[in-house]
Amino acid sequence: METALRPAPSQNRLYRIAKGLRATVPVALSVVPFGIAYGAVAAQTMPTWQAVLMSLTVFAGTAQFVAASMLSQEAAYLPVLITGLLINSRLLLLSAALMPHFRSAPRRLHPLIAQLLTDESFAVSIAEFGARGGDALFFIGSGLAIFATWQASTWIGVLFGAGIPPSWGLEYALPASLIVFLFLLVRDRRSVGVAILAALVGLALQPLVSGTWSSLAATLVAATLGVGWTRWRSRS
Amino acid sequence: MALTLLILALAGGTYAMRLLPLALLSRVHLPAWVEDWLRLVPGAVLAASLAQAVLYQEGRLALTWRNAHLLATLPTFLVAWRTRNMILTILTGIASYALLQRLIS
Repeated sequence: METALRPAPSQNRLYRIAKGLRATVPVALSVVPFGIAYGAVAAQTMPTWQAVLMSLTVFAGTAQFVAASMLSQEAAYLPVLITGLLINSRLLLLSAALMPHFRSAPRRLHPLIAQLLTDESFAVSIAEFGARGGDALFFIGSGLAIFATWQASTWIGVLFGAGIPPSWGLEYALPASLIVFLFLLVRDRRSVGVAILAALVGLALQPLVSGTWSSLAATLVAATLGVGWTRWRSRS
Repeated sequence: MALTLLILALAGGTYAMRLLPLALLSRVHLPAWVEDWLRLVPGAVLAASLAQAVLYQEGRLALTWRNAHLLATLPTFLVAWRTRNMILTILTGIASYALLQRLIS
């Protein structure tokens, strides 16, 4: 009889997933305009199913948006791929930072946790885990909230984005979102310096190197100089 | 077809970057300088893309007050800096760009 009094484990699991979902709803709402803007831009350059496929599989807003915008300006595929991967390289760090919290989680959950990893779920979950230790199911709930919102807003953008006239300035969602992410990612003086350097080197290279390769080259140069500068300073 | 491959390659590479540290890092540790480098790359690539998006118009450097892309960065930066709010910043950017475009042309 004693076991009947305890909640069934499956119920308990659903509760933990629901808790992550609930905690993430306010943050999830903030991705809606971004998803709509992505859908609208993507719909101009690719068929609906490819725009949706990208949201389902890539599931990383900034990279998708930049990729879709570059494609709408008829960029070659290879620089689009490399730019997208470089933007997403921050996920390596998020994944590494989550790892200690999920040491005790079943390994079979790792593939699902990985696909649901975004800046938004990471922020909500790390705030929760800091206080009480990691919970893989909470993270999965949080990730599902972002995933569902992102898919829904992509569809809205794809279906209704074409009706939005260009004079509304929707194309400016890209530079605006880059600016927000810069403020979120670039915090200390050295990263500000590296970011400014990357921007300047990219502009300087633009007449010499075709298309988007110049921003990629500038990124690699600036980040490497940033690392070199720190190591040189710590030595002297 | 080529575009589908591009999407799947971006998805596969992104998935690997999401999964590998989580799955492997309990055994392997990245060298400190690699971690440091990875910390700097995303900000740098965003800044370089932003500079291209607002300063390069129709294939040339457009450092003029007639460049609505460039002028609209001012209110957008201000809102991003004060609020760090994604929705507010994007709406500010779109609204000020739409307005400036009308005023300038």
